[in-house]
Amino acid sequence: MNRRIMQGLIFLDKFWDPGMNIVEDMGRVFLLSGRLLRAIFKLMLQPVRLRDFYLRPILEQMVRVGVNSIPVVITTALFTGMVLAIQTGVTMESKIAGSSIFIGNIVSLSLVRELGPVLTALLVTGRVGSAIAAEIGSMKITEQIDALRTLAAEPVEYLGIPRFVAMLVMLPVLTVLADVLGTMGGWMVSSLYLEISSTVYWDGVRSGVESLDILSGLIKSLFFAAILCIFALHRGFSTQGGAVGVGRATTSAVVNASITILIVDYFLAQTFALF
Amino acid sequence: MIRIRNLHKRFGSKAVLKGLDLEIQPGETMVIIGRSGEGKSVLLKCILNLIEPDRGEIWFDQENILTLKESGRAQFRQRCGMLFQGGALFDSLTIEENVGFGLRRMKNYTEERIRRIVREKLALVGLKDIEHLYPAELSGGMKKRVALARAIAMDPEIILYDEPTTGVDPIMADAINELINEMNRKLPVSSIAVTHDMVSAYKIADRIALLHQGRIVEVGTPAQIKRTRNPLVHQFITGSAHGPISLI
Repeated sequence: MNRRIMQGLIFLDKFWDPGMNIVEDMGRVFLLSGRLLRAIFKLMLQPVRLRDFYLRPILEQMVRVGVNSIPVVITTALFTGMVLAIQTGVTMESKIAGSSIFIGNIVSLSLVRELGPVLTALLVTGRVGSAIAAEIGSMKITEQIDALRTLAAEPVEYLGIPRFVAMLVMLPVLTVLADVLGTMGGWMVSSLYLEISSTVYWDGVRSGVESLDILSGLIKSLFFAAILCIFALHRGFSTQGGAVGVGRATTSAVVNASITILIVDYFLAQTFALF
Repeated sequence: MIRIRNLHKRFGSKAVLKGLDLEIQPGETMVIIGRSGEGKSVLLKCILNLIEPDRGEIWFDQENILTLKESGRAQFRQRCGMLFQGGALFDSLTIEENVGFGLRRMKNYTEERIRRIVREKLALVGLKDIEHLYPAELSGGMKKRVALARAIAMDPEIILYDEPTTGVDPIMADAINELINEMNRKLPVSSIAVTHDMVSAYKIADRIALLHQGRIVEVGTPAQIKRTRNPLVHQFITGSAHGPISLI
């Protein structure tokens, strides 16, 4: 009996340190979020500072996050809509003949509520989140972060605010773009391959998607923007140990942000299901 | 004047600074020598408040800067200039933006005036017509000089040098040493340099201090250090693998 308890304790002990590390890490993520939000709030009370120091970096980051991501988002959304249409269309038709007239309804709803926000967020995590973590990580190991502080620029604010704000603005925009392009991809396949008339498809889209659906998708993308940006910043700022460290920071930023986005997505979906 | 008292800092289980005491007189260039990994850079970062020491006091004039709030610390940092080991130039900004970075953020100068100051500081380190370039387009020695120009852009009262001659060829190293001497002659500053390059130490130091095992074990003028009877110092300055300092 005593031995059993001992074995149990040894077993627990193995997981204690990694467990505590995760808890500590989460604490740091929340602290970073708090600092960032407070800094943004403070900045909103100082419009002059905002204009002088942050307007240009924010616009630059918006180009980086948003404009440069457009090709990837367009391609992905288009093919996702096409695949959705062909898979559901063929399956529905084989089960109940004629039921594929609801295809517009299904494709657009899936996109607006789920695939648009989630896929866009995951793409941007891979494209931009990784870049943010790598960039800030490199700045950390080459002492540029220290240099910023000696020149009276608090790194979390100087580097974090433009990226965070740009992400919050651009991710929803990209999401809307993905929704639209995906729905068009579905329409292309429906009319060319499944031989459903365009009127039927777009009627389905119109009757299926309500403003609440679009709103819920956009709220989701705001959450995802915050998550992916905070994880990328956090990993970047806590980079240690040379080039290997930068690689590790990048990987864990992408992996942690992606997993968190998917988990949070479920809980948001459940919350929106109440309405 | 800077007075450091009983400074302690540990990282995890490794104690790096163990009760370090040091005084730097106004206008003086203090060179801290010691082996790699002895905590020389940590000491500089403690002075700048980039690293929070576990214990101890750092007095500047009549203030213990470790007891200051964040705004006070930021103000203190503005009175310091730091030359980082690898330069730490911001690689997304041009040379002009790098050198003028602090001025643009802290001083309410006109753009024209900032550009003039940047040109002056670059001229002081022997560079011109490179304002529009990016750090990646410069050689190692030029980066160090630009970094020095950035460190002195705000007319600091204290300049901290982290391994100023590491990673550049001997001729450039000597040029940097002369530059440091020139800075100290032309500007009313106190300087602290950490290095393990003895040639550089002798050339720029008013006084030299040896950091060993987290403490300062000896302080003296270059002449005194050369004549020392302390076997630790002797081993270090002669660069011998044999002696009281063990390799592991």
